[in-house]
Amino acid sequence: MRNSTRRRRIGASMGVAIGALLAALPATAQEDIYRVYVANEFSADITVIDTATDEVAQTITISDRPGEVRPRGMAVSPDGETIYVSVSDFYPELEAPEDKILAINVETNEVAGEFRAGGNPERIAVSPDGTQVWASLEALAQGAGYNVATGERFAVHRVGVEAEGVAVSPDNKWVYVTAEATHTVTIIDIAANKVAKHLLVGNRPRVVEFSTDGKRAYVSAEIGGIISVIDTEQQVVTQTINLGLDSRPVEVAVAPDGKRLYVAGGGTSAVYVIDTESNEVIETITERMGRRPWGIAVTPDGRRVYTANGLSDSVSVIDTSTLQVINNIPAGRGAHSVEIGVVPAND
Amino acid sequence: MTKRSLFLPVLAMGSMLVPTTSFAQYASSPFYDHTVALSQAYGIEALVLRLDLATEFSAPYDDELAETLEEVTGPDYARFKGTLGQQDPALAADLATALAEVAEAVEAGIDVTEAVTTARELLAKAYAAIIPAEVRDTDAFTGGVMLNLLLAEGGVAEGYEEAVENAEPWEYPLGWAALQRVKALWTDVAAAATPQQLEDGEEMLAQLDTLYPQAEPGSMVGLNPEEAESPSQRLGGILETVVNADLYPGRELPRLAAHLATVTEEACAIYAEQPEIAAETIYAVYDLYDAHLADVAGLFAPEAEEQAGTSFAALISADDGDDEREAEASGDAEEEEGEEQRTAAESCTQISETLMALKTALGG
Repeated sequence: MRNSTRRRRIGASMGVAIGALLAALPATAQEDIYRVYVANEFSADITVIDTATDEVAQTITISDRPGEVRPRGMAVSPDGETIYVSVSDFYPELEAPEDKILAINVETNEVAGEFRAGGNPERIAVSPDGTQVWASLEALAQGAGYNVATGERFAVHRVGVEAEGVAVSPDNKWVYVTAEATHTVTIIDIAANKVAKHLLVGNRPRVVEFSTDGKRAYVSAEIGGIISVIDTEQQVVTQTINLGLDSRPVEVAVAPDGKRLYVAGGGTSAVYVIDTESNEVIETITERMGRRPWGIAVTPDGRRVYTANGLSDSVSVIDTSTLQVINNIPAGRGAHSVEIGVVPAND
Repeated sequence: MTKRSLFLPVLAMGSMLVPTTSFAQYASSPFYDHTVALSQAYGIEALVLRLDLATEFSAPYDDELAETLEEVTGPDYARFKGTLGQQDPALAADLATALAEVAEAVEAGIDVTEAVTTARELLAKAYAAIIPAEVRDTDAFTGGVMLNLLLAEGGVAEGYEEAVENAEPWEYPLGWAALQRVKALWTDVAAAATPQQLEDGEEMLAQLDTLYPQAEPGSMVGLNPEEAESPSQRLGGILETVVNADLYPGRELPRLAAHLATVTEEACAIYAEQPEIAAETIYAVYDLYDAHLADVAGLFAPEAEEQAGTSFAALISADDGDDEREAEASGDAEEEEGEEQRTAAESCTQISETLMALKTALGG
């Protein structure tokens, strides 16, 4: 969806351009540039990787107190041009300046803004219209919504204990927040500004992601070793996909065409590839994988998958046409999450 | 309001239709198969950890450490005291004396070496007397003990968290002692490990070693309280594959609630005649309830969760030695004791019913 939005915008831009001029431009200038952002929990920085070369292009320092201040969850704006990073310290009850959400401009790789998010923000999600960021506040068992433009917190709701994953539905109506200790997903009605219900899912749920059409939500259960599939219309768990008790799944990523779900299996150092039509595992990628992948993201064109590997401090690159690891790239210490930013093609 | 009606709003939510998943990947489930035995084993292990600290440090002890050491006669002892008394009354009497001597020596600030040596030997005998050989000699049971040492209260992860988050530095040595025990038990089960499992497990132990370089607590300011949890959890996962046993009983919450209800019901039936033995079951049930069910109960049925908490507290305190002494001092010891046990039996039944209702509420 992110990609198609971009294509429409580029198409409109091109509509006012002269075709001959476009033809004269180098081919690479007409393509978006993808940048991979890896939140390194223990070195308190962000590794930026250029997907054209799969080399580290830059390291963005988040804090000069690594070990005490941690960047963890990340989210990308719908246009791909802003990466949001949740940052926290180890004193969730204190109003410390380290508890915040940063916005990184993908084109410049500079921090373009920040706003406070108390309560140990762990993971974040951006609304489809790009105006809101939602965060799971782990220490407070809350899900909170923030206005991107002003930084104002406009909503806060009680969710399960040890809040973890968060996602906003593609229709911008619902926020799902997972909680590790209660094994739940809390569904927040954005317009009504209230909790609609709590759903029991697999044991120790970590991350939730919606399908591209918004009809399903996928929830990884780390100790359960499963993916819970939620029918978002009925708001019930309709299926579980068994990955094995030793799989320890964490982040999940839906392919842009919606046909595959990629799951980072921290326990087995594997990536599970799931056919979303059958909800069956069609491939388990282990060869050349880094150790303990937690983070996972797909490029907007769907051709590459990147994983953040916390034990090997690296990023593995998977070619989605062959489902093989084609590269491993060093990252910072404790690679936690990964997102793909976009530098727009020259208009 | 009855307990059952407490859960009706939850059922009405229609949100509990959770498809079940088979967890037959591993050969056994020690927390289901040996629920009480694992709690008894952990009770003995927890006492041994305190004895280890008593000799790791020297008298006179820091006040907070002394309090920790004096707990050798506390709840962890109650986890197996009744069964030991039934199996081997002489050994039980000797152990009670030895543990009391340790506590008294700690309080007096005198050398505990001899008392600790005696208590250690008796605890080893108690372990053999209480836990059948065909149970204790299995890797699965050892895995269960190790998981408790890693993740239960007073264990590796929790000891570190308590020390950092709640500024209780003397929880740290307990975590350190638990880690030393985990490492010793790891060598017992490592024979069954593949080279990769061995490497992974030892890497996690090495990570934990860096968090626990010595028994003495240092400055814990600014550290991550959750730092020991991640490697402990990962080691738990590795351990499952090595010992081929499901070590996370919370994977199927309705099943766990039903199991605990059944186990509790069995204890309720003997509460009047054998309160100490029945209380051992309550300790075991409480551990698993608290670790896996309490939070989710608090979210879906907070009144029931509160009721369960009250009932557990009543039962565990019903077995407390101080209460018994107070009753005797009142001159109505027999009457008081009978009343106490009636109350305990009622609380026991309440727990069982609450757990069964919780099972239903969780979709079981």
